[in-house]
Amino acid sequence: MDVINNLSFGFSHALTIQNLLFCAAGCTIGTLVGLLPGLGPLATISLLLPLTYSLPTGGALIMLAGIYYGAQYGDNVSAITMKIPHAASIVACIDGYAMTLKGKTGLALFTAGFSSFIGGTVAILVLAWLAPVLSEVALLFGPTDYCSLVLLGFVCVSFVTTGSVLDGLGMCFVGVLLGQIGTDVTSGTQRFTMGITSLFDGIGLVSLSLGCFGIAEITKNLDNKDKRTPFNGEIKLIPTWAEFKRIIPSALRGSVVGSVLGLMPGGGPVIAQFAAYAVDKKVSKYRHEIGEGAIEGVAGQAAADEAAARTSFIPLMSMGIPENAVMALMMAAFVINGIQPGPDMIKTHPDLFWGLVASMWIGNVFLLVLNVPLVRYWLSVFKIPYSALFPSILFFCCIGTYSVNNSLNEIYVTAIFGVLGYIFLRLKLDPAPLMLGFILGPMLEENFRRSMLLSRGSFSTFVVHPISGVLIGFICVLFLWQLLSFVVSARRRTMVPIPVPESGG
Amino acid sequence: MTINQNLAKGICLIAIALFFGIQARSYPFGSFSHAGSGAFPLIVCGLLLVIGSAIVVRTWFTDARPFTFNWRNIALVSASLVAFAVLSEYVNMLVGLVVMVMMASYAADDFSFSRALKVALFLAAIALAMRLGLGFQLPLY
Repeated sequence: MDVINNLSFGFSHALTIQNLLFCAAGCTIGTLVGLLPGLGPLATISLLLPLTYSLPTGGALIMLAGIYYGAQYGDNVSAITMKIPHAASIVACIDGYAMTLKGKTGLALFTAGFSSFIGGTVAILVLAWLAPVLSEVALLFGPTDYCSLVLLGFVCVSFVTTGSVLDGLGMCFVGVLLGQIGTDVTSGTQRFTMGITSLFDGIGLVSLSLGCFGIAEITKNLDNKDKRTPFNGEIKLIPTWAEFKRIIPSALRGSVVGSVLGLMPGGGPVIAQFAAYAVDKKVSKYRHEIGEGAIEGVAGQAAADEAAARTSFIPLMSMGIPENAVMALMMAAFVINGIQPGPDMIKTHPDLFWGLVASMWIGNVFLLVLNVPLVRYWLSVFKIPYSALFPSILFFCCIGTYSVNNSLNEIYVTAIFGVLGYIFLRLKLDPAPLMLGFILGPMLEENFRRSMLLSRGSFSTFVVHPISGVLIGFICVLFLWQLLSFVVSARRRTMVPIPVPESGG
Repeated sequence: MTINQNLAKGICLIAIALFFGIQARSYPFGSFSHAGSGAFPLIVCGLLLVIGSAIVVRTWFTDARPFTFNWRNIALVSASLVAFAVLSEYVNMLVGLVVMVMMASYAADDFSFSRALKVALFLAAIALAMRLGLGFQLPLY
């Protein structure tokens, strides 16, 4: 009954007029900004982060969470109506857009919204039940184990987001190095500042992420000479009962898949969508229709998306380890607002923790009753030509980075990371692992130094400690697997030098 | 001349590792049991160097992919940001804003002077509203 008690305690905090307003504002602004081409959840959150600085802590966290899932829904909408994929909505482009081509946009949007609601509800029950348990487990973790956990997170994220452990891990380490810029907390040495005073405090998080995700993406869109036709079709939202019945089983399957994958290191919405889509393709009663605009193709992935987005808060709030780039950004936002996520968070700030959990569900309701019906009006954003839209986005990037601490220096940093992010993009290096490395770097260093101090300088400590040893084992397995698959594919390439002619039929 | 994307990737990571590694060597290393401020960065640079080299080695086994790069747009966009910051510092933010929008808009392939000017004026109005209405601390004028 603990879960129910805790949740009702949380609702008593989340249901104040003020917090309801923050939640609604977060969802709405998040969806609107998330719709814009070139702004996925990462860029949206970093763009809107300065807005929350002046709010009370609880309200700020509630609004940020609202922005996050609002942005995700916005991504889904632009994927369904116009086939604009963001990192978080690649799967929605397949069946969602196919439904639009069939003239069933309204149904697709309703399915996505309603499945998200189911996914979110299931995930919140998982969150309320699992987070306190996991925070007890987290107390068993020493510095050595934290080190290995962070490394495992790096490897998993690399594996998932880029498919190549080497590329992703490289970006993680670049991020770690960028996180080292500034004053070393332990010794007070200035590191990598090149004598520039504004770097003594380190690189600003908002500048880095807006540069790498905002500016770079905008420029990529410009390179592609984006010519998209704005969506002009009709939207009929309310489904028939027969259609409605098809949503439920698929959404429930997606919720389970998403909840589980959201918990894994390196997991999160992206991988959950693909997995849920694959599951539906295997077991759904209508599997032959999936890929050509089936309700199941939208429902499963949307539910998984939402569920994974929620459960990925669990490792962050109970262990203090973000498992993907978005959560790393969330962690930074928590810290800016004066909350250190970790095993103690539930005990020391129960009102914030349970209030946030409850507000997530309220946010889900808002998405369903507010965003789904209003979506047709928001799509008019796309009637603005891109050449008028992107200078406006740039302007808000500038205001956003400036208002972090009223300093123009941040804008130079944004420009530099815009160029760097663009180069990375062209080199097919994903900046998401960089973000994770940047935020986890200081934590990794601190725990590394501590565990080396405790072990008197012996590296064997990472293998001898049972928890750490298991985690290191996982890392080795992942590496071996990657190496093996590389060797196999290279072999196959050299053994069959002549491409097999395609057989007709 | 086309550059192999994979090769460029590896070289880029190696360059970053060297850039940080050379600086890190000047910080006190300490010993592993009492790590100084230079120890951890050096280890990370070492790992990054290994990864970069591995990517370079990998290019022998994989197909080359051309590395395409469009300097014009990224240069215009980032230069407009720099112009915004410089002008805001020495003139005021409204001028910076107008110049930034004009410069950045030039990157679009359907650039039109009058439209860019309209966007700039519209955004200037929003900035004024943010300052006067919402109390944002923007050094607009």
